[in-house]
Amino acid sequence: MRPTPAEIVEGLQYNLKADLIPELQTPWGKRIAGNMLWALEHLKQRLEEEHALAVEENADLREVVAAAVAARAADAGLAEALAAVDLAPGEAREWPASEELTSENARLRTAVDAIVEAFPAEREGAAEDLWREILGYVARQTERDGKLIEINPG
Amino acid sequence: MEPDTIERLPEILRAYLSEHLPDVRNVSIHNVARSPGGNSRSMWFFEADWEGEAPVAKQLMFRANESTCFRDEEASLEKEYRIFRALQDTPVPVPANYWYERDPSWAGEDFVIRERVAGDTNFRDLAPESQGAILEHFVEILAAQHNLDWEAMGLSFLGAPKDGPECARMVVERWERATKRELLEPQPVMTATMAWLKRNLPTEVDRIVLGQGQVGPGQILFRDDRVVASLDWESGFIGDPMSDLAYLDFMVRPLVGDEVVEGLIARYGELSGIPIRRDNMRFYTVFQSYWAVSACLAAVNRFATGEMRKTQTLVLGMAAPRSFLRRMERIVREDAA
Repeated sequence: MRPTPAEIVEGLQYNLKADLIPELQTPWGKRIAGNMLWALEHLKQRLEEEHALAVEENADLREVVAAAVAARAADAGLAEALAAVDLAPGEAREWPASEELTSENARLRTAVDAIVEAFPAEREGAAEDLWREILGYVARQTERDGKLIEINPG
Repeated sequence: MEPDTIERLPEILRAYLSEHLPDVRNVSIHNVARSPGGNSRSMWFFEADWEGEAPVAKQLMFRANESTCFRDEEASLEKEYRIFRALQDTPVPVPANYWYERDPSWAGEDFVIRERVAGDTNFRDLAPESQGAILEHFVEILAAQHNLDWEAMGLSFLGAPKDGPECARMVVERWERATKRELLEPQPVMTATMAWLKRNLPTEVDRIVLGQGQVGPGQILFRDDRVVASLDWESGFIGDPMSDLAYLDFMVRPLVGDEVVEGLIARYGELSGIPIRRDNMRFYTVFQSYWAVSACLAAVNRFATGEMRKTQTLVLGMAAPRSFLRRMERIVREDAA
């Protein structure tokens, strides 16, 4: 439907910047208006990018889980440490609904969290490679979140 | 605070001061204004006037317990008030804190009334010479702070570690609990960082001191290139002095550069007599970032669950911790490389 949600958000941003903020008299009022501008920009980014980023993150998480399965098979110490962790990779559907993405994301993140919690103190070989794989995911996820959060509302 | 309480605040303050200053008459309240500074708690500046004498400043501040990010378990208003009172008349300049009020019949929640000290907080926009002068003075204060006898000051209630190794272990356990309590969805970055912290706990601590937690620009008031007040003691703790030094380092290094920061660290070492432990500083760079992110998780929790659905809570919870999160993620990843 037109206007799109993003277009409506842009209208609200315009009113805040052009009509409301210049009329505000106090530093506190201006600060809160700035917060509202940030929230609107964040909302716009979420509307436009969150779904695609969640698909990307879930694929990333599945790779970490698959790497954990492989590492567990190659390293007896890791196999023991991760014995109780559910490492089912799950299936990626081509057009997942938002709710499905969210619940799958929670399941996969829980699995990766459990891997980290159970990780043996001594890491070498396959365990070391898996640890780097996990930290690689963490770095990429920090970047993905940054696209939605590290924004300049103007 | 509730909107009707905010509307009635001048009258609440007039009644409160009238009751708590029995030797004065005709108390009046003027220019009540919400402070735009500070992210954690709601604050109002106000001016009071009265007939008669009272040992209380007339430029005052009302600080409400309502917090966007802190929980009482980790950082209560009462704890901060007690630290401020203990710091009165020490080399650490602090505003006078007059009353901590628990009775909810006044404003619906706990609050503190304290002196409003005249000064600036906007460090970032100062000339480099002024920044340098303020930081040099601040390091003198920090060294003096780390030499205070916190037991004699009655600050053991903050939780005193029994030895060096316990300093880091205590704070790590406290903030791991806080993180688990606040998380609404799994965050592998927090779990991986906690794993790093547990693997890198410092064991050597040369002196167990009163630390501030959040240190330096943003937490100080200055005037004429001198620090006139040290603010925000809600994160105060007893522990490793390298924690404060690490926080100061990562907050000011991007602003004033390596040479200035290294000079400040060396000066701190001379003045305090405490050896500089770089490994401990690295640990606390990650830990301080972790707890800052953790505190902001409480803001996300409050917003998402409806406990405090205000944009200041949202922005603090989501935007404020980003630099801390990136710093801890980078160091943890570098150490694995």
